[in-house]
Amino acid sequence: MHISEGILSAPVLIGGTLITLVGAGIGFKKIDADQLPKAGVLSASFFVASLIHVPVGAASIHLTLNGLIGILLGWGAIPVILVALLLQAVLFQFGGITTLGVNTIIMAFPAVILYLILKHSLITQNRRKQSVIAFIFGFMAALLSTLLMILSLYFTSDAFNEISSILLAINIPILFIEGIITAFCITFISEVKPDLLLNH
Amino acid sequence: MKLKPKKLILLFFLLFYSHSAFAHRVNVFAWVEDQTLYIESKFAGGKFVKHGKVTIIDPFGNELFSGLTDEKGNTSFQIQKVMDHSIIVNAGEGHQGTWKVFAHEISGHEPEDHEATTVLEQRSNIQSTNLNCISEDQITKILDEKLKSVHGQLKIIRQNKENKIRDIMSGIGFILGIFGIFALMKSRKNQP
Repeated sequence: MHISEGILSAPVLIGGTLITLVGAGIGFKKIDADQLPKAGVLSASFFVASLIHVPVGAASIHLTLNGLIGILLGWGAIPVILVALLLQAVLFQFGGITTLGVNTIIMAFPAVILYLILKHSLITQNRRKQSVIAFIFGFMAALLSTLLMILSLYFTSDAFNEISSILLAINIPILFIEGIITAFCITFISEVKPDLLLNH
Repeated sequence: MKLKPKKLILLFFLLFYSHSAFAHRVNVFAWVEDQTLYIESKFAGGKFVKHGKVTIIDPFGNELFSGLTDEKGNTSFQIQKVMDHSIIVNAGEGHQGTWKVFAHEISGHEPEDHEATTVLEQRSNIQSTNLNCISEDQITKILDEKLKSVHGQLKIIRQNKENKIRDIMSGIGFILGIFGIFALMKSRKNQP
């Protein structure tokens, strides 16, 4: 899901960087000092999860856990994912420095949008309902990220139009995996430390 | 949305025929031999870039060649003119790598720039000189030229053998450090 250097057109790169800077500023302001350890751990989780690649045909897919980060941090997901992506670009050349803004939008913004829509529905005593909502959160965050990636490639070159449906098809397994992992994590957190879901 | 049989077959193939996995970084290496530009491409994990799109462009941005890599991530191109060649290998899904072959690396053609001329002139001078009269500089230049492809391949091997675990651990350390700095900044702001 990381777009490398030299793929996207300048307007897409500049627009992505500007939007990300604004989003990261808002996110950073909204994270309380006592939430920062949690943000650091989630950023590290994203960093490691994105490095595990699963082969699917001629491409590879990886976890992002952006749904989970969105649930636990809301707006804070943007700076958290930005930091992890920066280090992935520097240490592993995954993505790139110029594409950092666009890659952050692709992976962080769906998490924030879903957080704004679904945040209240997660606070419930009904565990089954909570798991289902968490699954939707994880599934939809990954789906929106995939669609944003396709959209950014679409605005760059017509050559990507033909492979759009293939890119979407390749990512279908990861949508379910993300949903299941998010549901499992939220169920576990609500059992052992429910205040993590409430304090932001 | 109804899927056509062709698309269903393609989807089935993509989902269940899983072969070589790859990471994001695409390593490209190219060298010149007998007026032919040989291109090799691999993913960071060492897997071949199968059927990756290869584009070669000249210094003015004109496309000289467009094709696909074979099963081993290789392809070749017959050089038409001595000039810089930029090679782009696109492995799809936004993953690509580049390599540049400079004019002076291309031998056996009429050089267009001063650097290439110098190299070729030096080579012809060396050939016509008695072996005993070859200076150390000339020997170094010949060896440099001959070992260029070996250097490139060693570079790829070195890149692939990076200690990934060490980098992951250092990445986690950096992240925790960065958030530690954030915590410090926030706590200073909150101080009365």
